[in-house]
Amino acid sequence: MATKALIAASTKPMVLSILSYGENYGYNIIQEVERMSGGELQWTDAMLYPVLKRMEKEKLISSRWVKTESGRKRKYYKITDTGRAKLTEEKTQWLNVNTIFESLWGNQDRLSLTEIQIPIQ
Amino acid sequence: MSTQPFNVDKAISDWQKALLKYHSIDPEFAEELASGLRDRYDALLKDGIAAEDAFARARKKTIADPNQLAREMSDVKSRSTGFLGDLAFLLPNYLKIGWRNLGRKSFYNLINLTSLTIGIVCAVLAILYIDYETSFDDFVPESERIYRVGQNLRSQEYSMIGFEDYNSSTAEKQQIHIDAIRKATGVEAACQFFIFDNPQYINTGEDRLETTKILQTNTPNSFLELFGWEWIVGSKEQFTNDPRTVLFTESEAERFYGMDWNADKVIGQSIVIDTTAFTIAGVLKDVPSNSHLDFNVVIHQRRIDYWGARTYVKAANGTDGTAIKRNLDLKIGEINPRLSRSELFGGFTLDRLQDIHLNSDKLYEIKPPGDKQYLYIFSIISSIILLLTISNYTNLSIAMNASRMREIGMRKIFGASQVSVSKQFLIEALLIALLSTPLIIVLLIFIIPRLNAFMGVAIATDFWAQGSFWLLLISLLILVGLLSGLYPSIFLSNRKITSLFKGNMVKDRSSSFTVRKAIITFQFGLLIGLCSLTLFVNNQLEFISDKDLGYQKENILYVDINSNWETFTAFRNELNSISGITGVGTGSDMGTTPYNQTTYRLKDTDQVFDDAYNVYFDYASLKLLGIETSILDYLDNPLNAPSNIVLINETAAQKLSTQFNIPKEDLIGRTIIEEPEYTDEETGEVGFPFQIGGFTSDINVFSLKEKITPMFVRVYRQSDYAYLASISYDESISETVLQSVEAAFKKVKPNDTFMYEFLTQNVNALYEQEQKIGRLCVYFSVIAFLVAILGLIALTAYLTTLKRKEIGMRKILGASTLGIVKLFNKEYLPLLVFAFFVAAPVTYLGVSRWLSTFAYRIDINLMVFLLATVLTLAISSAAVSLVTLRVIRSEPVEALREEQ
Amino acid sequence: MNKDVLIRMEDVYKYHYTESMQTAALNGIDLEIKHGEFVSIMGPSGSGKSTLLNVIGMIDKMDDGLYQFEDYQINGLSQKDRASIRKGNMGFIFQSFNLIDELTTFENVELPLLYLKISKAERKERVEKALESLEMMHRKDHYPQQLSGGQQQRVAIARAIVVRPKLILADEPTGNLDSKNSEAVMNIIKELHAAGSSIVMVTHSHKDAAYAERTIQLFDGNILENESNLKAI
Repeated sequence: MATKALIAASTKPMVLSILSYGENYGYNIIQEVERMSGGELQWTDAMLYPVLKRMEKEKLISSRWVKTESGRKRKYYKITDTGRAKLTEEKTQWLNVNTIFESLWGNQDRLSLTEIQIPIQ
Repeated sequence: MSTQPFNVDKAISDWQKALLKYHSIDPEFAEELASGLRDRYDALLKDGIAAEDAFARARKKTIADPNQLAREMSDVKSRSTGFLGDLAFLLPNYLKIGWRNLGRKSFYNLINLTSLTIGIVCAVLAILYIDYETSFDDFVPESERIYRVGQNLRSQEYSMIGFEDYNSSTAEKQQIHIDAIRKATGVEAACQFFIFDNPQYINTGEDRLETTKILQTNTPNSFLELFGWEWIVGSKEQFTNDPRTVLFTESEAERFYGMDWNADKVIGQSIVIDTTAFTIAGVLKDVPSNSHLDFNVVIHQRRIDYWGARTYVKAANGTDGTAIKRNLDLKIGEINPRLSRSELFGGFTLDRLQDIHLNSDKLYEIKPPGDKQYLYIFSIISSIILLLTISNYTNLSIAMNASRMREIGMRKIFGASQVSVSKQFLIEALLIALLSTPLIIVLLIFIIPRLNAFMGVAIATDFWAQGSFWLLLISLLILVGLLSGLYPSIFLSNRKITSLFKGNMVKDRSSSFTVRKAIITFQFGLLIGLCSLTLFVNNQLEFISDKDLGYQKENILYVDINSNWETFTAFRNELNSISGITGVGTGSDMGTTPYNQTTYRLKDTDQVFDDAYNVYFDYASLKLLGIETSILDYLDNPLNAPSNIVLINETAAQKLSTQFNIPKEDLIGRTIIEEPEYTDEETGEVGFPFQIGGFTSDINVFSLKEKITPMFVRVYRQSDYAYLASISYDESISETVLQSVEAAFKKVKPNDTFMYEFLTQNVNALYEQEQKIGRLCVYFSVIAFLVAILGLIALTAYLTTLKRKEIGMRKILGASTLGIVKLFNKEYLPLLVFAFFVAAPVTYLGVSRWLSTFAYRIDINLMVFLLATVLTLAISSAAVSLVTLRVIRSEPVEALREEQ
Repeated sequence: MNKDVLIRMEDVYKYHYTESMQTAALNGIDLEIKHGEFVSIMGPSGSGKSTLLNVIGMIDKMDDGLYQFEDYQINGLSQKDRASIRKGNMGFIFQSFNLIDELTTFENVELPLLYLKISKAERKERVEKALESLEMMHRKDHYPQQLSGGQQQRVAIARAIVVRPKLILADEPTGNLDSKNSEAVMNIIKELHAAGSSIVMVTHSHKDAAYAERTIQLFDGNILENESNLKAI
């Protein structure tokens, strides 16, 4: 399970990334995340919707009601240009973090941390 | 188990409805959540879970805790409205309440409105005035790169530079002079010209009118380019190529050719200026009033008929005045070879074009330079008035809104934050400020033309047509609104809810009292300061007008005679036959602006001084001016007097006497050599020597701002030429003197214009600025008092109304009316005393700075501060007593009855 | 936790500070109020009735103890958080009505909805419904000064219920009214209770207190008695 802080930080970029593939709706977004995390991340509606509303206020995404074949209404979300710009920015930051962890944990041989001499008192 | 089949649609719809009881969940969002629930339910059904169970699971997964969701959504909603917060919902409510309160408390709000209007009008006027004064010469393209070249000679700075041979420089020499300047490193362009103030006749064939401010230039192209004068019509090529062509300004064209003048009527016309023929090549737009230059006609001619020229250069990009000054100084040998050999020459001076109006005070400025003192006075006093109005508002608003504590309490119960309540009161302040707009505009339309006339400025009278004005006004209104609403809004908003329902806060002796007192103290301080400032300024002005200048200034008339001695004598004889005329002479005029000084040394000594002025009088004018001299006999019997005699003034006598340790009496007969740096090439004589023939007392030829320096008074019986006739007359004929003198003038010079000045006018003109400052101070003080008293009246009225019960009780207990009035006055006395001790030192500093600009000035009498304080006390206690009496005597009048 | 419980207080203290003294206005109050309950609080002046009402209403903070309102833990919350829970959950009725003089009947009732950011159309609907239920619709454009005391209190009640509060707090609602109007107001409150509202009322009047299901007797910040009126009758 991911910690609260990590979820808080990662929800927005994840939503943006999912929407960058095309329009989508709340329940399906939750399903996508669950599927891709192999069931590790289980978002609830109560957690996702406030985030979506907030992002809409920030003009990162837009929404519209769509009638499905069954005649039901569903609200679809779409990424905006501002959202795409934000996503690029987020991506760079996450990749940077990722690079650091990779070199720290991934390939110990190539790692060349400066050795720190601890003076003996 | 249930017998009824499970109806999922109904279950979801019930669930959706239940969500609606949370305020932050709107119907649309509930629908979306329901749609999500349905998606989840459908998915669970597919996995083969029974309908009822699927619904229960889906519901739990969708929203485990509705409370938490509602809270988060409310967070999203309130945050999303951002800076404005709940304003979108509450603004109409605020405006409604604000507006209704305006009506309910109309008496107090009227006072607030009036004082805010006055404050803002003063501030707008100050800003428009300062903007005008600092906008001088901004219309010139790239004005920041343009400099005026002047020169330093005999330790004095001139606003122009002389030609090598002064008046007799040829056109070629003048051209070499300007070309050398142009060649100096860093100079991109340069022009020279001179503007003649004396009127000259221009004859167009149809009209013959006098015109002043005729500009002569021999660098027409540079002159036009550098200043970028706007053309209306005409040929620039013709003007720059052909000497003897002229340009008219628009108003000059109108004057000569009528309002309906057109290019055909004007361009190419031949005119005669004085005696020379010219052709009109074009018409320029009038020179903007905020220019340090002014001219009506521009003449292109090869030679400037003057000893020097006004010279302006445009600096190349990347260089500045200091660099150009250096380069010009290096080139002095080319520019003016004779000056380069002179010890008197102290180098060129460069003034930035934009600095000339406010920062230059050189000899022979074109227009009297602007006075930064005005800018300071305007901004300080208008800020004071603005502060008074703002503090009025603050005080009244706290007092008035005390009755609204319950409203604030209710709002807080409904969830209003402190910020939200502050916003409400700020908005009310803004509302009042904005309401004053129409009145402000009307007042400005009324005042600006009068201000223009009074200050001699030209602030646009159609200010309301300019976008920038509205920007200024609106920002001022908002600023004033915010400033005046700031304290009340904080004060009213930061109380605990439970304390808001506990009665009236004016009654409790908490912070409101000290703040109100602090504000009144502050207002008292401003009043004492302003009042004493006004008293000092006017004392100094009185001192100036009463000070013995060393000569008689009443009943003396100067007439421009500009003639040879014979004509002057004829004029004098004509005048002497008029009864009541007591003396006629000729010589220097008194009450002028400083001019060039001269160098000198006492013969047989080495030290050269450069601080003396020469003044010239014939015996008659020296006598009629009543100047005290050591040659009384000669004045009484001019026929016994030598044809020439030079007297030195007291200051010169003292200086020479102490410098060389010679008793004053022994100076008589000693020789002074003027301009010792000059040697006559033919005779080998050094300078211009003269013998000291006697002494005069010190006389203030210039303004009292100038310290008296050594002065050589050259007295003569007769000279070749007379410029100015000085005429003294008896008080009894002061009504008719001008007429009879003009008649006499027309007899000897029938074709010339009669030009005259009264000496008192000359002297007064020297203090024109000071007189204006004095009057401004009075006006402003009156306004400031008005505003402060208005505030004090309203506040007292309000507080006494609130204390009606207390007053009633006191009366029942036997207090006299006088006693109650005293009681209310007594509250202000300690505040006044405190204000005195703060205001007096601050004003002292300000006044002594202003006084230090005068060489002769009053002492700062501390009693004046006391007087100002007593005056403030008298006026404010009169106001307080009147209001209190009104409340005590009668049932409270309708206007005052608003709070119970 | 019992889902029916609206308010639970355990060992609640509230102190008043004067120059040299600290007096306990609430001296270890234990209290439970269920959803839909109508409780009256009685006691002599200074016994802490109003303080208790203010603490329950979250307009005054408590100094010690535990206070739970539905799922919210109130003790320890900041003023801002308390305000956000209070608004929409609480309706207040005062002895002196506390209507805003510059607002009409309609506008007075509408005011709390503005702070809840409710849309204009919904506001109109809810205000009119509230006014109708109190039979004050015909006075909707009148200002408070134009109304009688009883009418003013009806408007104040309309203002309290318009937010659809979970709890109505009444501080001597009949204190400024004559007996006829008092009875009318108490009947309205009774009806509100009958319709499902939870009500806490401070009163001096035994007659008024009798309308409640339960009466709490306060003395010196302590609960002396906590008796069911139903039993007594």
